[in-house]
Amino acid sequence: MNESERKQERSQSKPDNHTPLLEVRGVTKRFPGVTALDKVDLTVHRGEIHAIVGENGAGKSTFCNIVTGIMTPDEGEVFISGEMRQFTHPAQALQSGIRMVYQERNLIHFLTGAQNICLGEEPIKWGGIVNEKKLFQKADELRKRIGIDIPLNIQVSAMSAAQRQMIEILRALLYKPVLLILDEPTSSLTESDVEILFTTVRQIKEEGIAIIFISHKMEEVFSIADVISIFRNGKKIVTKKNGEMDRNECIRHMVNRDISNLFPEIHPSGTEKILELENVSDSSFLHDINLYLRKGEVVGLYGLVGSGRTEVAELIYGLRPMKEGRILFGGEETIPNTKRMLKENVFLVPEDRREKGLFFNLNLRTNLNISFLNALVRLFGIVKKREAIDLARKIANSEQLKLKYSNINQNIDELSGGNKQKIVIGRWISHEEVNVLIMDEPTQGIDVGAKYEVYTIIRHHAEERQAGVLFISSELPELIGVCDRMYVFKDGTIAGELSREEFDGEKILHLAL
Amino acid sequence: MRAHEGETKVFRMDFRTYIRKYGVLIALLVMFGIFSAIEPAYYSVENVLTIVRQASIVGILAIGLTAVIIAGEFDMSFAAIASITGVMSVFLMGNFYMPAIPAWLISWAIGVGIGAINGLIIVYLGVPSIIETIGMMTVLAGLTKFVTKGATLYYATFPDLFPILGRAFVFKIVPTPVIIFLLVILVFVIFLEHTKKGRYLHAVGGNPTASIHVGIEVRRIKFLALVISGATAGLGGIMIGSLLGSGAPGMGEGNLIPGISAMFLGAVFLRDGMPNIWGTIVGALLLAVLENGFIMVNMPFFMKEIVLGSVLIISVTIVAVLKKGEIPGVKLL
Repeated sequence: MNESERKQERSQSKPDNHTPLLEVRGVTKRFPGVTALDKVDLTVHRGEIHAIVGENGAGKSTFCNIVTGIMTPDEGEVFISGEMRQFTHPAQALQSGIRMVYQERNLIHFLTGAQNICLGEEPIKWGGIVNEKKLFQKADELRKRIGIDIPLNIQVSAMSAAQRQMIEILRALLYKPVLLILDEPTSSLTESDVEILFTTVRQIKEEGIAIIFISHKMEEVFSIADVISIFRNGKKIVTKKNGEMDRNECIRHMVNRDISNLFPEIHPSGTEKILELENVSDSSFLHDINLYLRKGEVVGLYGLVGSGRTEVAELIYGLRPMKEGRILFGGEETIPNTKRMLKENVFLVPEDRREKGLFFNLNLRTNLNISFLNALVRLFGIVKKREAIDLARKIANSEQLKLKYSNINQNIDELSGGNKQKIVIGRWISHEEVNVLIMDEPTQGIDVGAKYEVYTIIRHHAEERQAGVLFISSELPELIGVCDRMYVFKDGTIAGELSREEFDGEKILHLAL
Repeated sequence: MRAHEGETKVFRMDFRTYIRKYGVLIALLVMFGIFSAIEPAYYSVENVLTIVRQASIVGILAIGLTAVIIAGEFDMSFAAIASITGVMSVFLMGNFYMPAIPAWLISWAIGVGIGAINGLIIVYLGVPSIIETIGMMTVLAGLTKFVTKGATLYYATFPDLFPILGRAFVFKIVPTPVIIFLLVILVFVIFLEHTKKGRYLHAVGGNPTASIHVGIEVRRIKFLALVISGATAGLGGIMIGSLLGSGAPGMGEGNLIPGISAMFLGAVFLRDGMPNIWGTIVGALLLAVLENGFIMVNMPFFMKEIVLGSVLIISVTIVAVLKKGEIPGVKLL
């Protein structure tokens, strides 16, 4: 079947091409104490990439949950191709051709790409044995139709993040969906991977499939969306064609305040060197790392995922053994070890706060003061409860954090992504002295407002508190906006060093690729 | 808790959360009420103290297990540790005419030592705890048979102090195991809920990676948890020896399933699906109420195991289902 035939077939089966594929009218969803969605209207047409943008808690997830039948709305109607549908179960939405590709990867790592794509739809030979050959053909056909180049016969565990994401999308496409929802599909991809993914998404759009694209990242939304809808506090604020709204307007709608500047002002204030790495190598792939950090300076570490930036941070923090080279702290040679570094007031805010930062079985109070417990104990190691609570409140309410919480003993799972990130940051910056602050992807998956606050915290610690800050990120614009200097990583070593005057997106990417 | 401006109260209790949080306690009271209605003798100070005494040894063992579970590991060997320490205490006193206190201390130290061996193998060599402790349980069963030559150890003379841990009464009415149980509860409530180490135990069990990041020595904490379980099991063992007045190869084994059940029953108390000390205590008491009640109402002999097994399955099922939004399941490894 060639391209035109397929398009014809599609238009024959759905004669009225002007009926919107998805129409949502007046949908409201209430939870105890909050209205998560408030009379939302939204229309998505075939072959349209419709971006939904909004801060955390704006109602994007609830909206998707309703469209995919995970939740039933309290009020309002959902129409699919002009027909009113009331989904009470996700299976019904799937049958109507609505597929969601989730943020968390749902792939089985020891299966190949093809096996993952056909999971649950395996062609069967006699006796119930999977027909691997047919299975591969089936996956391959799909891949060719979409026209993307990814290997299908290798295990998912050997694939890059972007490839995995693409396998996930192909898996959704196997069911011939009419509407595909992509929830933050780029959150763990590097910029070059994002481009590859977007090419795929555009090809899917050519198939006449409608796409809802949920994202935090402005650049991405503007580069891929046909239509942009902005959510805030459970309401849909506006829907406009891409091109009819600029970035500032978009952000203004999202946060309901003007952020004239995405980044805080920069007053360079670097003084003496506090941390130096000389020809550092580890036993696996880091090699010949030479870098330094001055007090009062923000230094960016840029590179693709797996280029060595996170690994360097872990090495400095004593989480990864060093094999060769020297690390100097305040001019003195030191062998990194987490306890020693903590004593020297060197702190690491790790990437992936869920995995490496937070304790979901402990309440907000203990999550905040856990790094202070040594100072809060009396005889027999008993924690001074009143002091512990007061300290946690002090951290949470501090000028820098302004954590939004309902009770200091609450469950942290109820907090938004930005506030969760602030817990991990607050745990460290509330120490009396901060000498080195290492921030690994601190803005991942948090909304624009919270990002600005993180940037402010970073600049504040360099300029006011004279700390040296290492800022690791996959998002080049934020590094360019916040850093005084930058190291670019590639294949386990430093590919280049740039001062602020030399910052240039193209040049940096060139070094990283 | 002090109210604080701008904060809302965390305990918004509707009827269903109330039932969910205090379900085990409610079950305990209901069962107690039912048995009291059937048999008036059930409802007496003496019998209540008997029930608590029955709960005390299982409870002490289960508290140690709870500490291990909180730290994210499992201990299947606690009942076997109780067996060997119980046998050793009887053996030392009977065979070597050792006074009670040194015999107890040596036996108890054996329990602590076995906990430490478990800890070393699990934490420093990375063997999954449930498998290592099943192995240790089996080894200990063999060693106990070696010491007892497979028969019950009984000696004509024992030190005068021998019965004090299991069979004596304070003020002629309160059984000593109850007093010991209360002391253990006191120590562990303070330790698990109010000390730095206790909090680290929770942190390590909840998120080991994050624990490393905040400077907690994860291995040391997990090791500590397994040593604690050895220590409580050792204490339980010498109490069993004192209670029985003799030593038999499988003397502690009967506490394995009740101990695990008490811990899992407790996981549904107060905190959704999270093992915790108060829950374990209530769980142990509920099991004792059931057992004592069955004896009182002359339940057929085979019913005890049927009920005990069912209670374990039901409690773990509740734990599994309570994990909202996740696929039901209990992770042990």
